[in-house]
Amino acid sequence: MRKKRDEERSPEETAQEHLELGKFYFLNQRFDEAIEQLKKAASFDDRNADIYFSLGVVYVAINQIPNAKESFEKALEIRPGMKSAQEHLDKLIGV
Amino acid sequence: MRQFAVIGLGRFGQSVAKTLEERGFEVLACDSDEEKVAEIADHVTHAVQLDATEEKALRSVGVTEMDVAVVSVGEISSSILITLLLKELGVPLVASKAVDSLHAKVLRRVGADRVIFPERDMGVRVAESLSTPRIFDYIEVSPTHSIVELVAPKSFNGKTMRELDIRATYGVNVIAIKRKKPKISEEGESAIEEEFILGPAADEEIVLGDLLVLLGQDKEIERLKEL
Repeated sequence: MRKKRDEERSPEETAQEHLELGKFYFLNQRFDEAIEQLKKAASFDDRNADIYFSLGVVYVAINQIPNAKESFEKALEIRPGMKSAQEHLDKLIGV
Repeated sequence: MRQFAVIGLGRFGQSVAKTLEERGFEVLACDSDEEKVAEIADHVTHAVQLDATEEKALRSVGVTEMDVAVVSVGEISSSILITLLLKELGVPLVASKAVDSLHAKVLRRVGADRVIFPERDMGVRVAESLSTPRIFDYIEVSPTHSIVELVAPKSFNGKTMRELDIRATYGVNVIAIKRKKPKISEEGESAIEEEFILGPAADEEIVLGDLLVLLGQDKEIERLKEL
């Protein structure tokens, strides 16, 4: 299948690509690059809770707790009742 | 199996009793307040309402059979009296909760084998972890030594334990490394798996995000915190 050119993609699709790339970097312990990609993803689509959730998890991995809390809160704001985000946030309350 | 009695079922006593039960020990939980006894009844082996300042009452529930008794009664004179009675009844190990240093002194005089200051100890832990954002947990093991969980200094990343030689350089022992391993869950979400590396080997490399569990003198740990 032909890859869509930049101008053919919707912002949501572009965000999704950056999200996938962010997850890839995260999985490879390249946390700074993961954060960069996830922030880019959020700049294309700031209504995607998965992006903020992933960002929160990366921040937890590098012990940046205030940033992690903020990201999980943002994910929950977009998708109230998001279980995984709530679980992470609950764990961080005492930290 | 070791048997434990927990006397006084405030928040501290309840938490001790439930934790011991979860660890698989037999727990006898007592309080003079019927409601508190009812509250914990489903979580422990035996829950009994009694006045623990009366020797007869203590005997009747079999306190003399216990290996350990925890006295977590807030009222000072009762806590002293109960501690004294338990020692006289021959309980091998009595651990009593103190509210201040004078109370602690008296408890030791009447035979308490251990005196616990939950509020003071927790206060120190919380203050330590709040005052230094890189400290995640803190346990005082002596007036001069502690165990802390510290975020590995940036300059340590990518170096092996051998290269860092933390014991020789800083006089502090690395007991363990807590590492967060990234993974993607079955649902496709980013997730973290905690790895606990006890007694890290010389060729273990520190990675970004590692927490070091350190044991050492407070002043040496202070030096590491500054890095």
